[in-house]
Amino acid sequence: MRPFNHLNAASLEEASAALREPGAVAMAGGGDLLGALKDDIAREYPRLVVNLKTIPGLDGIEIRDGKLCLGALCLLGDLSRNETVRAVAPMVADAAAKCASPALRENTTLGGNLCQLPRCWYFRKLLNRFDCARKGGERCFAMTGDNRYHSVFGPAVFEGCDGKKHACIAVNQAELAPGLLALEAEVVTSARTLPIGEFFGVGLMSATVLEPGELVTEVRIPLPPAGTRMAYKRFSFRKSIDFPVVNVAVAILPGNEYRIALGGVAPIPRRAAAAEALLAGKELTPELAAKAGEAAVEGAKPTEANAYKLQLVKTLVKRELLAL
Amino acid sequence: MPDTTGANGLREDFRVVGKANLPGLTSYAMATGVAKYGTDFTVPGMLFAKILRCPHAHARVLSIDETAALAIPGVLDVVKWDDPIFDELGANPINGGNRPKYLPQEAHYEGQEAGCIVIAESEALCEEALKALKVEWEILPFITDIQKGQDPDYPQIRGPELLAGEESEYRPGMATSDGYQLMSKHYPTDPRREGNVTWNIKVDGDPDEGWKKADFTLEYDVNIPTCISTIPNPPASVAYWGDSMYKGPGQKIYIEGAPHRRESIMAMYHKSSDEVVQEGLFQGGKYCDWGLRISQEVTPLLSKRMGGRPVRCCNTREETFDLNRNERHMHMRLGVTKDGVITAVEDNTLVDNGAPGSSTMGSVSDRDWGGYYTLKCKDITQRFKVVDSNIGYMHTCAQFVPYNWDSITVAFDLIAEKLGLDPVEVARRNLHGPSSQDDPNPVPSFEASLEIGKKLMDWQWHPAGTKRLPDGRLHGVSFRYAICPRHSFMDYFCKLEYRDGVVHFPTQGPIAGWFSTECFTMIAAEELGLNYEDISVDYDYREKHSDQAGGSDGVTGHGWIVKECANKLKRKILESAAREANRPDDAYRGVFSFPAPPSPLKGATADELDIVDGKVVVKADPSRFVPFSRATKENVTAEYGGYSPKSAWVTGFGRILDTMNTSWCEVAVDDETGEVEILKYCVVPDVGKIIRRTSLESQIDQVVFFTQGCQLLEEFIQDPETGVKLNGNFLDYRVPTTLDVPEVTKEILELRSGNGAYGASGISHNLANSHLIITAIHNATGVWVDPPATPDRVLKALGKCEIGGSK
Repeated sequence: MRPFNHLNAASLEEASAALREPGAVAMAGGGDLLGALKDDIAREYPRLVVNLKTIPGLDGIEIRDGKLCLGALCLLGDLSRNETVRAVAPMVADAAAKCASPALRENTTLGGNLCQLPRCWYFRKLLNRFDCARKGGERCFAMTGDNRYHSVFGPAVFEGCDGKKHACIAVNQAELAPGLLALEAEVVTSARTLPIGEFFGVGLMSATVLEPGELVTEVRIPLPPAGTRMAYKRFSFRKSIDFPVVNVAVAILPGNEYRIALGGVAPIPRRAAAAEALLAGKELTPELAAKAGEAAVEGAKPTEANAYKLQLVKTLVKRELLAL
Repeated sequence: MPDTTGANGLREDFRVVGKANLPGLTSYAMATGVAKYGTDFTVPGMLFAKILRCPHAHARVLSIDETAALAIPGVLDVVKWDDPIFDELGANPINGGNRPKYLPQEAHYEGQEAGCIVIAESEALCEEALKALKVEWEILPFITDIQKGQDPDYPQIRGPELLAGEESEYRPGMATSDGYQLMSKHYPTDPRREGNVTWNIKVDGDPDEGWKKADFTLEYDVNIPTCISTIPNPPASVAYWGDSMYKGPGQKIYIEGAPHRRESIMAMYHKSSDEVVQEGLFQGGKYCDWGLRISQEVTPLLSKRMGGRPVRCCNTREETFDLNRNERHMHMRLGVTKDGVITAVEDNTLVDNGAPGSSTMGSVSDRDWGGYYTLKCKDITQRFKVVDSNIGYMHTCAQFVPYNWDSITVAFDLIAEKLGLDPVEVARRNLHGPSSQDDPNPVPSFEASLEIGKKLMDWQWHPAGTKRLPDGRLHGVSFRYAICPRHSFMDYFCKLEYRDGVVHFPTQGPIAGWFSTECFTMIAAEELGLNYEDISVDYDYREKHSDQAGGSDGVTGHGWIVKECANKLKRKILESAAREANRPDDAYRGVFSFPAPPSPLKGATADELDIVDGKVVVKADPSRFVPFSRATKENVTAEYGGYSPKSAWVTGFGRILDTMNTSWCEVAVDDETGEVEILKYCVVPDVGKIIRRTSLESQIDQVVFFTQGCQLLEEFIQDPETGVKLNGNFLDYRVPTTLDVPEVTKEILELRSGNGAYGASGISHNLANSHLIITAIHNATGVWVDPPATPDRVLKALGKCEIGGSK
């Protein structure tokens, strides 16, 4: 690891101000950032690491104004065990419990999980070996390279630092994203409140729409109506210390309102709108669940190497629906 | 072939050997962090060095501009490949690979050390300096796809300097005393190089005759991907120079981090034994990888350049991804009778030759003791097409050596499927007996292992794709056999000393986690009539004894040497005890010259004495004894060196058999997700005789873990466009976690038929396999999946990917 300056932020304001300076990066649990620093993956090495853990009051878990409010600095381990979270949003607790490894879950945070950079092996290759579009380069190397873990719903197009449009097929594998998406959570930042569906984005060295200096402070989940059933399933090649290749969150609200969210399949987590529409108002049957699985991959454009993900999505959606 | 040629080889009464849970002598140090490994050593005032690594699959350094790097405060030097300082280095006599130039100008795989070494006041500054270098690389053609690399029109990736001596490699292999030729890189009759391809063709028997006997031909492919060596501790060293009171100031090398290879450091730096000091003997576990890396060798040179200041050089994890298994594609043709007996074997292998200097153990030389020679069939053709590549470097050997057992495992399954026979029965019909390939009845070890394995597995073979579990998943089983190997081709050494009433066992280690020293201590205690803890193991880097035997394959042969040495020491102790007991009284005085009482042993000869339960006793009257600690006032030393009895493994290379093992696997396959779960993995080895049960069971766990990882998850992946490795870390290169694999079910047999110590044989190499789980998946699904059987591959094989799975 190369040298950098370090700031223990005492307040959101101090952190935001520091992070508006070029070359500053935020660190909560460090689960994502430390690996990036060790491998020196970026074009420029950060000059300043701003420690957010020293900011008080950002790790609460409470029900407030009809919403389950989760502080951005909540540890994943705490989320997985918290009785309120387990009662109100069990699939969020389940997702937290399956993330990373036991040791990492006691260090890493909700905010960090949602803001993590892509795991694309071209993006993550040490010493910026592949200067890809997400770092300001011209190309997405995965598009023509080995993309077995990449998007099956095509690339994200975004504006690069040269002002031109660039594409990227890295996926978002945030463990907690599908559950929060299915529960229609909102993300509170130091500057605004966003529906979680609008929070994720694809940009230069970023997996969110956060502006420089803007920090996630809280995630709020509207309390699901009584009778809501929900389930979370992740599929990874290894049972621990592995990112989900595909993760699926399913919620069935009273009145047969279905919400299905997918992670690991596209540059940002997505709702399976076609599947939800197919199911809306209907009683679930095995045949309908299978059709919903098919509909969940409607519009997919897999590559030769990652078409298996479609089968995984179909199966996981079907099974999780039937499990409820 | 039991242990009949040495002392007490047929011993029946064991007090120490075979006991479970005797403590490891260094376990406390290893478990608590007291033990220091190469990466742990620091010295006050030390400098740091890092080696430039090639970012391309194949490239040559044209120039390096170090101006900006040297301008960084704290960056002290940049030593380039052509610096004359490297000419001072002598050759490393043991290094596993050739190094035409110590620090190469041309790198043959991504991540190879090349070009220069930077020296700075901190590791972070070294990284800064490496980044600040302006390196001009000439990017050269590369091969990371050996299928494409065999194209004769593909540009040749090895220059004339590397191929200059190739013609001399076309020669017969080493001839064994039993008349077999081994380890030939190329036979004189092999076709000569074409592009990046060389050949190695070996024909046994008369293949035409074999094909005439066949009723049908079986044709299939066995594909094995590249796997890497997961060395737990990256290679690292720290070194400095000190004064020698004999040779003068600055003449003595202090180096830590190169355990077990002090002789290499001595040779490279032209130093004698007293001029190289290295106290730390711990090294991270390696598998048959005996060589040092540059980071372990070069620090004395750099320290010298920096005026004697200590220099530390550590590889990172990502820099420690050497090959453990080269990619291999075996296209098999077998002649088979309607009874399931194989009459002809034709193995057409396409194999990765690795980067220059790679061990041929990864390409051709393993096949001389493969599974084919365990068959009654003697008509065998092995045609190896060897492709030079830029995939990586195979240092010495691999756990999977020899590779081609698995083409037999697959064959038995296919024959079983075709004829509706249990594969165990197919194996029984094809496996020859102990004395030769003409011997019709399988060795008792095999039958005993089968019987227990079947019970443990509740073995019920079924045709492929015909059984589902209650939860809907497909169910599959598989079976394989192998020889229990033993290293009797290495000469071993042992020294034991009786000094001041205690037996000392001095050793230079290395302490690498295989607990062979503990095994040897148990053997010595057994033979000396002592307890395990009575023997003092003295770790001393200057000692000659080295645990280079490795795991059980070596321990059982090396243990035989220790057994003989212990008996030699015992004889000398008894002779000395008898001599002292029978001295005239005036020569044997007590305190203040009062006559000592007569020894209880007085009158007995050495032949009439024994050592029992920590006492030297008169055999005819055990009430007459002296404590072992007072057996003699003399210091008594015994040494024993040489070879243990030749094992079947290296006498017939499969053509004769003694101890064998069977492995069994049961899987469940989810045909909607492609997920494979190993329900049971069972191993029944006949190890002849257990020396230290704890080590043996651990080694079985290790080799099976390794095997499971390589069949389910592990795969070395490179970018097709650049040849750069994409998963050079343990997040993307997945070794299993304990949640991914079940506990290994094992029952160990002791038929005493190996001829290592007490009839022991090893278990490691041939329990490693590439296709037992794959074969069980085939039995479950009816389709073949190339390893690793990741869900994408399984789904693709099942036809459940709309476009296709990964390559």
